[in-house]
Amino acid sequence: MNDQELRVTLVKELGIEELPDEAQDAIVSKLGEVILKSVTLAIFEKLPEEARQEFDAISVTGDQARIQEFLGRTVPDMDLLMEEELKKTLLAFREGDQLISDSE
Amino acid sequence: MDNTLERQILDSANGAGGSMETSPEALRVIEDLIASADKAAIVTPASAEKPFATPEEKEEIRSALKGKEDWKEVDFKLEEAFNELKGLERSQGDPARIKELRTKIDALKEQKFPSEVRGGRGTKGNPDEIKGAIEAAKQETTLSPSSDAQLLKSLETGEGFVAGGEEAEKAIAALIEKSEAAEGEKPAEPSAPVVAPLRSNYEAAIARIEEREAAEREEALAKNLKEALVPGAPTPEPVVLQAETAAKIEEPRIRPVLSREEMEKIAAKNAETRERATFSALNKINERNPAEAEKLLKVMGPLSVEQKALFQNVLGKVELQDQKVEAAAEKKGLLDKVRKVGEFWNTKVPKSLKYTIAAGMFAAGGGAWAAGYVVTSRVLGGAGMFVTLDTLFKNRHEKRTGGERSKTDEARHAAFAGIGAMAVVALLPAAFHELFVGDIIPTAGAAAPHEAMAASYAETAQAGDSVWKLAQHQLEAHYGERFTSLSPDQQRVFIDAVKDRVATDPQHFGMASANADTLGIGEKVNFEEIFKDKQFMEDHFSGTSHHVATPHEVMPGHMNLDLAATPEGEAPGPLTWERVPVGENAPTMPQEIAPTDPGIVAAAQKTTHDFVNNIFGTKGVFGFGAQDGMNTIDWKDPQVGFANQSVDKVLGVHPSSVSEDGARHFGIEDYSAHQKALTALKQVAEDTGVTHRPGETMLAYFNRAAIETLSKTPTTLNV
Repeated sequence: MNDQELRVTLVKELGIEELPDEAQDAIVSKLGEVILKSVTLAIFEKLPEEARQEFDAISVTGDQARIQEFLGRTVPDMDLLMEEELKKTLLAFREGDQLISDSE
Repeated sequence: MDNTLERQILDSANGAGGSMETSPEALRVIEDLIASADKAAIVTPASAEKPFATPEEKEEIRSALKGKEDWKEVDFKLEEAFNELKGLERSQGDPARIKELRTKIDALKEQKFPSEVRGGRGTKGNPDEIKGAIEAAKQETTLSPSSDAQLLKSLETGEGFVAGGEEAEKAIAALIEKSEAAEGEKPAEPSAPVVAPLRSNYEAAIARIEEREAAEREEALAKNLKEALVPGAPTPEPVVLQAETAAKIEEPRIRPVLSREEMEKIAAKNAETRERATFSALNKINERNPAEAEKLLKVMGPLSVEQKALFQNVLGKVELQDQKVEAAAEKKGLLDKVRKVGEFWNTKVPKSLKYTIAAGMFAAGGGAWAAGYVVTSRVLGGAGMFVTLDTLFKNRHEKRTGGERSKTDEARHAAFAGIGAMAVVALLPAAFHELFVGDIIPTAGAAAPHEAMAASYAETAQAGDSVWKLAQHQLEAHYGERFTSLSPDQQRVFIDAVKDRVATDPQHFGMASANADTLGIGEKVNFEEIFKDKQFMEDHFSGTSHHVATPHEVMPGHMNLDLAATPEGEAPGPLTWERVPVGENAPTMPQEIAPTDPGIVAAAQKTTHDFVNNIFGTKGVFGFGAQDGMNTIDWKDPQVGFANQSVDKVLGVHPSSVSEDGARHFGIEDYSAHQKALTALKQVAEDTGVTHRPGETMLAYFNRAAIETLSKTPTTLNV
């Protein structure tokens, strides 16, 4: 699947084929941003305050080995956590068609 | 056994003139006596109004048996404790005593049926008692024919001892069950085979209570559900339920069906919410990259109503989701991190790669690991953090399962490692961005595309493609924001230059045709040579080849306050988020004019004052009731007054024309005041040609517009 095919598939999945490229770009970019933010939140909200501070301290060093050790120790089953969060985010996107007032 | 004999025996046992201390005959008689007493007590303990013997008589028997028949002593204690417990439980007596009695009963039971003798020669049993128990057990069908036969045989040969204490326990357990049923506390029901040790009355009572409560809960649940499902059914009386029951009932409650009017009202509110969210999303794009916002608005202009509605619906929906994520992040003290990740995504990841990565995320979230793996690994395969996380997942999997990953696991882990890498790297200091993902993601300041960039230089034409479009895609893919932050005209010139180079010799760049304008579907164009021509690329970025934009020149277009068609005197209709892009001849933001001339500053302030007064002030009648516009709540209120509201916010809100809460609203929350503000903004933009800046308040904007206008033409605004 080349980039173009990928783009077509994603745009179709989102149901925005009828829109011009620029509008599609804006939507895809926004969706990616939301997904990435959701995953980040899911990972870091599991960390206690001390661990968050530890991450900040480690991140300043950029030491990849320490980051790996930190994540392995503090976020067990990170892959499962991300899987769950991605599912939730996409479900929320698909269910976003329902009446907004339900969630307000 | 007649009473006389009994009395004689008791007397004898007490040593009152008797001499049959422990002769076998006496013992047998005593055993019979006690057995009958036990039987009566066990079979109908509660219904036996009158015990078989008075306490004094029991004491006599105990004394007679002292040191000879300890197991009988246990029976007495058990019976007493049991009766006392029953009484206390009925009267809800002293809990401490009840607890003490339960402990005592358990201990006595253990004493009577010691576990170590089970299955062996075991417990000593009274033949009559056991016979009675067997009869009862037969009725309850708790004993199998084989065990029945074993018991009978042991009775015949055991001389008062039962081979297999466990069998006796079963029989007696069945008997006790039956006695409880006889009390009327619980209807007799077919007993399950008693295979466990005796269940205490306490345990049985608790079990019965639990069963009864469960039945009540189910009944209440069914009742409530039935009522909830019946249209027009009267509201049931409040039922005091346990929290657990209430929760069960609440969960499946069916929402009432909405009327058509309610549905329409909600749908309208829905659309309005998404409209606001769309505007918010566009504002964010504008703040981040005005050129991109301008480009987007330009193409949105000629769209059909349906297309605009689709755009608004989808973008608004995603924007609302973004707002929810940020709200949750703020609550957990993670807003800065989450925003940092968003900023990284929006400024460091090129548009074309966003498609690839977003598709990977989408696929992974939907469970399509393989697709997620393909796209993610293609983009991030060589990035340090990607490898780090993938290794982490791999090691954990192997530790957890003791085996290697399956292909599915590999794909799944790769997809998540890619996404996780993006999130983690985004939170590292910018200096490390390139170290971890720079191999595949060109940063905005990159002087040239990286050699190891995953995005290929070759493009395959699809339906509707042209060399020009492919060149545009390549520039976006390899240079990201550095390219997209150029103005549309600058981008066009750049793309034209790339396309022109291909057109000089299309076949040299991989095309089948010698004409760059006849690109066929599936045809390939390789831009590598052009993109590796650093001089060519830098010339275009540095402005040698074309004009480079200044920050002011990429100012966004102003809002489309489409009120021109509004008939004079009629209230304008609600505005939309639509913008009219700044055209070639549209006024651009002039260079900053420092308000150094006090005369101009004073004149500008007066102009602004007069203008605001004209918009929001009232003249009154014969001078009474007049109010200066700048002193109105609509203008000066610190919370809702327009003076301190940003122009962006004023343009983005849509206060309802009908007060939903019945209260009077002012300023930005009031429909008519808001319409006046929009009219004012439109007028200033049209008359001065000065556009507002992101985040600029209305007062600041009006003042600046006045200063700039007065600096050029010292006349007041035409109001």
